[in-house]
Amino acid sequence: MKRLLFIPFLLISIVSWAQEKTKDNFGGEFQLGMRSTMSVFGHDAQPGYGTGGQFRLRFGKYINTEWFADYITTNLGGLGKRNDAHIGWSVMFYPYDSYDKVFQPYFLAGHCFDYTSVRSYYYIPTYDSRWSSAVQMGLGTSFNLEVINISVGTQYMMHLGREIEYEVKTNTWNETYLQVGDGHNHSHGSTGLEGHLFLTLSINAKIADLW
Amino acid sequence: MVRCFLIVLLILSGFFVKAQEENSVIRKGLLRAQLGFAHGTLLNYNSLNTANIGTDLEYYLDRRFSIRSDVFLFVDFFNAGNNRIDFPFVFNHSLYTGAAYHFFNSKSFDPYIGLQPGFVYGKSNQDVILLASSDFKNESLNPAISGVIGFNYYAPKVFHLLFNVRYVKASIATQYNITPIDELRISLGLGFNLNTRKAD
Repeated sequence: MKRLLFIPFLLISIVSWAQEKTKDNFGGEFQLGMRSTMSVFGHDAQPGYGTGGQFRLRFGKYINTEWFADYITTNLGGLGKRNDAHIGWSVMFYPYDSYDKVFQPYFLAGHCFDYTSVRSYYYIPTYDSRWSSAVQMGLGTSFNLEVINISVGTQYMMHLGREIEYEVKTNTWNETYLQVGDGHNHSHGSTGLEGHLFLTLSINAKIADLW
Repeated sequence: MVRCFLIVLLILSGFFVKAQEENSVIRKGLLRAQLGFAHGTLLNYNSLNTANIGTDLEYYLDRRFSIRSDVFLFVDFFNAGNNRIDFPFVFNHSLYTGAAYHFFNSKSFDPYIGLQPGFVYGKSNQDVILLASSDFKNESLNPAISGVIGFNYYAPKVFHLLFNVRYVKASIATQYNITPIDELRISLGLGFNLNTRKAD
């Protein structure tokens, strides 16, 4: 009789082990979050600040993906403003087995599309805008707090597209102003690479386990 | 004797915490919302105050963490936006979404701290003053970030009181200038809560 009782216990333990075993791909975790971004340097001396959102879909123990959108405003020394909007995706690679650890450092690389506009605040305002494509790569870490994770990261984003030319000039009354393009709202920028460093702080909630 | 007393105390406190978790409305699945009044002061200007109607929606992922969204509608109670040229904006509505951490396990008192990125939709007053023209687009959508600290006090069933202090870092960047509108905002309100899950 005792042996008979032992068998169900054995079966239960085998079943529970099997269930853990089937979860060894660690994929399917879906996270939804918001983020604040700071564009630290690049063409402009002052940082730009932005807000955005993202979702993350995990494909394995070491691989996650991030799908994001950002909107960033940069004050160009009080002489003009620059707006950047990004929409894109990144693959996050965790170099260590950190799935259920508090600190989850990662590398990321990906691609995005972006829209940039620059406007001067001069009496005769000048303006230019462009669409471009970009690649980004960087590193960061997530602080895993079970249902929530907080991530901080830095990435370098390199835009490939027509350059928007703008520079600070001085008029005959010794006033400084920002001139965008040739000053007549005509675009003459050549195609080239333009990079900027990004800092991101994001808060993500684990919403579902999809598979 | 002392050892026995401490052991009994520990066991009792364990039961007490467990009982609190079971009876408390503050647990995983709690959904709460509120409509309240928020009074703010603009930090980049001397003695300029704002009034807002604030509403929020929050869901508890577990006892410690929740996700929440807050919406504030600027109300020109002080008749500031249109009539005072020293006031930086005509209106300034905002939306913040993020998460909050709830400090400790109490049946009714729920202090928390949160971080919420968001957006501000505002209309600057400065453009009108400087350029005196109606042709210029001085409304814009701008990124913002907000930190909040406060507490909820839950009544036994479905209502709670709330109080929080919020710091907002934002600016309104229009076609012709950037107006900083950093603000410290105090909210007070009455909330409604509902447990969407049964207690474990």
